[in-house]
Amino acid sequence: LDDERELLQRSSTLDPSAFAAIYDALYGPLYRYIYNQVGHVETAEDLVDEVFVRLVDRTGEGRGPQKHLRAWLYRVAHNLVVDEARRSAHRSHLPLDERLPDGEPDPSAQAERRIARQQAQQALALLTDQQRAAVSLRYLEGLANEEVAQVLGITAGGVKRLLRRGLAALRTHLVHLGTLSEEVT
Amino acid sequence: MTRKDDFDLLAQAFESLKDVPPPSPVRREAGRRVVIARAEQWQIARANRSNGAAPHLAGPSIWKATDRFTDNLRRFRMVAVIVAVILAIGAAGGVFFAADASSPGDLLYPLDQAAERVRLTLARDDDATARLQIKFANERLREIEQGPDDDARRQQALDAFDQAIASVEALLALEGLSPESRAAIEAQLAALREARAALAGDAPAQLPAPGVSGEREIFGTLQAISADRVTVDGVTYLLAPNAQIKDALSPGDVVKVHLTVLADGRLLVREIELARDRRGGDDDRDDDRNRGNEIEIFGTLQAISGSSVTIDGVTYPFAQNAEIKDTLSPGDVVKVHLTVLADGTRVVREIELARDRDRSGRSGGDDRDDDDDDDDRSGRSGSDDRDDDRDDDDRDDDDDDDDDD
Repeated sequence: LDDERELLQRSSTLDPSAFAAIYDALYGPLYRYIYNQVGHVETAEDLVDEVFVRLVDRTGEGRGPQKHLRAWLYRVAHNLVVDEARRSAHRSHLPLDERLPDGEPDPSAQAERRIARQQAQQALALLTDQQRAAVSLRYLEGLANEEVAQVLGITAGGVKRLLRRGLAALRTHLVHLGTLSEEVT
Repeated sequence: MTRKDDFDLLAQAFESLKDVPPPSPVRREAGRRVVIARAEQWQIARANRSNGAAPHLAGPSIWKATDRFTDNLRRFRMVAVIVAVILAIGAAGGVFFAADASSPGDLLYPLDQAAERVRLTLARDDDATARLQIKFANERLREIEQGPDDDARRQQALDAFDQAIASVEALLALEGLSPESRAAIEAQLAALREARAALAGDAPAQLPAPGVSGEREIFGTLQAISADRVTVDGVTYLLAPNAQIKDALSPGDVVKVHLTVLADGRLLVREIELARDRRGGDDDRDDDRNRGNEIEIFGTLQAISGSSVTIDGVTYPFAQNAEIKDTLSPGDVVKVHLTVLADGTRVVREIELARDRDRSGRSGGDDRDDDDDDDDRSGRSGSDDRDDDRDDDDRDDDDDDDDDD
């Protein structure tokens, strides 16, 4: 988000166009982050809507983000995901929604992609909630360690530990699921 | 295998995870408009605070607001359906923000109304809903005063104003209204009725105070749904303030509607849900009867002008050569013969005072049919299709209603 500071300043005045710009810039990444945590399109749509409504409401109440807009939004998203997980504790992260875009014309390649994605998603789902969040934020959404730390409410050192363990666990799960060949172990 | 190779393989896995199923573009657009509308509301609230006015939006806690938002999510899905239609209409250009200045008959007018519905959906409490409804009613009045350039547009504007007044009347049934808001609504309502009467050249309609007199169920085909009203089988009903929408509904669904009957005969939707295997083969027959055909309704006359009547909150235009058989006044219970045009529009062919036999104790609803109510309607305790003459074995609550007379 290149103009984060300017958007923050404008949104603090409750300028609707600022919120529209934030929405346009971050809807996709936030949706993807939430989807990768909950594995369900409609739930992800509901939660990402709620993230932005909270942004407007908290800003209106004078309790919105002050410096780190993106980290603030991901933190709200993360908290909503955690709440959702508590509410639907009986539900597994799997099976996942498989309504993927049709970017691949070749059916066999499409199938391979789907399988690869399923395995990666299954492996991700086997991480602890904190590991999954940290790994997703760092490697899927591209947040810096410091931003991940703000989102998760932990120290940067804690993020590094989560990432190290999360990656190791992810690799192990991928091996078991057949994505990585045994020879790499 | 090196550490780098290992990392590359993990990176490939991450790459595949970026390929998520896309969100609905309609839902995304609806959410965007919601965010913008909410920001506008907060701007107004902040301006009110700085002017020393009551900080309307700052009252509820964020959690309460969020809970309300969550409750509204189901409605957003329906708003999304509406927005889908709007997008189809407005796809030719970026027209949304020009819609606010539109008038009835304009291409952009449906967008304006859809935006209002979104704002109503987002109203945080009953007071906020009341403020918005009053604001919208005054906008309808302004649209008329700006002088639509032909009769059809003027009639459309008048109908929209009548609907807006009915929406403001319905506000008085809200339980969460502050005394100040209630007083403001009553004052506004009086002014709106006076303005409406002046437009029609009539004396102001004196409507009885709302109060609840009973419950009713109807089954029918959902034709439209918005934040504050539903249209079922051609009849539009206002949603009660706390109306429950139990399923994700779309036009074309066969629905069961629980209606609250107000003391003045008007009907408010208390609950609406998908009809589940109870209506049987009724649908087609009802549709046949309501298309290109005649139907009869009974209800309480709320307003009458040279061009339309308002019955139970619904305004119907007069057909050419319509017959007004009695001297009618607001408050009268009337029988109305409606002609259903090919596009579903209902126009009044004949209106008269309802006689006792006609009324059979019914003061609201519509589509009572005296001819063909002979199949099993077990579970239907609703208003439609009542049979005054037959004595079938399959009598249900409808017939019990008749017996009460």
